[in-house]
Amino acid sequence: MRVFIMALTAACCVGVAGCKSGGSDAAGGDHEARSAASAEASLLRDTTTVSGASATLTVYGLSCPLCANSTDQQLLKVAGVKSVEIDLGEGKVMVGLSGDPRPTRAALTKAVKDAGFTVIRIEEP
Amino acid sequence: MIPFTTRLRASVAACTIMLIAGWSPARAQEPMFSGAATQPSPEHFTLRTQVEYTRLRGDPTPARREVEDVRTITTLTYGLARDLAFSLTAPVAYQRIDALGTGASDHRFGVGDATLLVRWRAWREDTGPIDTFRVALLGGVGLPTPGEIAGDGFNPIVGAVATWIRGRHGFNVGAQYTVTTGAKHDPLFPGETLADYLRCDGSYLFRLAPEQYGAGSEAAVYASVEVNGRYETSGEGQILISPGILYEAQTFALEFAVQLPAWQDVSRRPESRFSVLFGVRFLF
Repeated sequence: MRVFIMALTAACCVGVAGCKSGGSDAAGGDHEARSAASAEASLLRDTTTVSGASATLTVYGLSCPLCANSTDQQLLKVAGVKSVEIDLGEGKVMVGLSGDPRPTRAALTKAVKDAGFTVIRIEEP
Repeated sequence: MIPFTTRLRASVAACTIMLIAGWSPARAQEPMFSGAATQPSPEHFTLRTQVEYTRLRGDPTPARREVEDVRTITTLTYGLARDLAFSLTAPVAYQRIDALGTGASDHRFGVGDATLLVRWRAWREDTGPIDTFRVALLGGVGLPTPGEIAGDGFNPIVGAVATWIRGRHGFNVGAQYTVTTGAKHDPLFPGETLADYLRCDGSYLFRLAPEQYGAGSEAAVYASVEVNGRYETSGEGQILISPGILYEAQTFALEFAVQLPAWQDVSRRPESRFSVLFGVRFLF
């Protein structure tokens, strides 16, 4: 039992140390998180229609190829979204649009949020 | 008594069916022997199937059992809401048990205890294109199933798991406590005696390739190592080390891991020698 507790304690210490060392810009990370949450909240209230043929979403939290698939599935449910291409390295999601009705910025943001990720910016060409 | 060859064929058939059933959306970047704070989006489900071979030796009981266990572990998870999902896990196992103390041999095949869990994502903080920190709380129950493999009680479960991904590095830390109300008559694995059961897991995943994601990135390879703690309130415990490798594409994932004991203190069941696990996941 003593060995078990010691090993668990050691594992927790290593984990905490890893988090702290990896987060050398921890304050910046907190700031980024607050900024991202604030940007998302703002976009969720934005009922402006995306009128162009495409839009580029900057998304945070897409950490793997399978995450991209989840985002695809949710965005393709939004009326007006015809295609989705994702650049994981840049966190860019390129959405192709056509037909009526066109989606609002809030609808695109909500779809990505439902997939489990955070939109911080939507740009139209 | 069902002949051994019939049971073996049934095991292979069950494994094949479970693998085919696993061809569906899967959650990403998860360690093999423990959990992560990830879940499917609303109205989507995932199926994860793993095949695990375990060898147990060094039974301190008079029966001196030596055990080979082959099982498929299939987990169906459904997204109820943005931050709420439930999952059902059901193992199908074949066990060969040689009791050196009595000279008896036995084979068992059947469905093990099912586990129903509700998962609530309590915290999500995305701090960069790849970086994220998530915490999920778990609650549920272990369900008895008919057959030789299963126990006979409803066992409440509570737990929590956190996932932290930063660049190429991923950490998962989780704990799960099971209140055991029904034991198995012949316990072989942690949590099968009448004592309550605590499992604590930590894992680290490192993305081997690609070094940096780009527009053309369609797959990733990770090396992983897990520390799996298993403790029963009777005083028995194990710490296991599990290195593995994970390949993820956009439409499928493959995982392979080995689990080795680092420390064991058991008196009511055999010690673990090793486990080998293979999992496959396909995306529709």
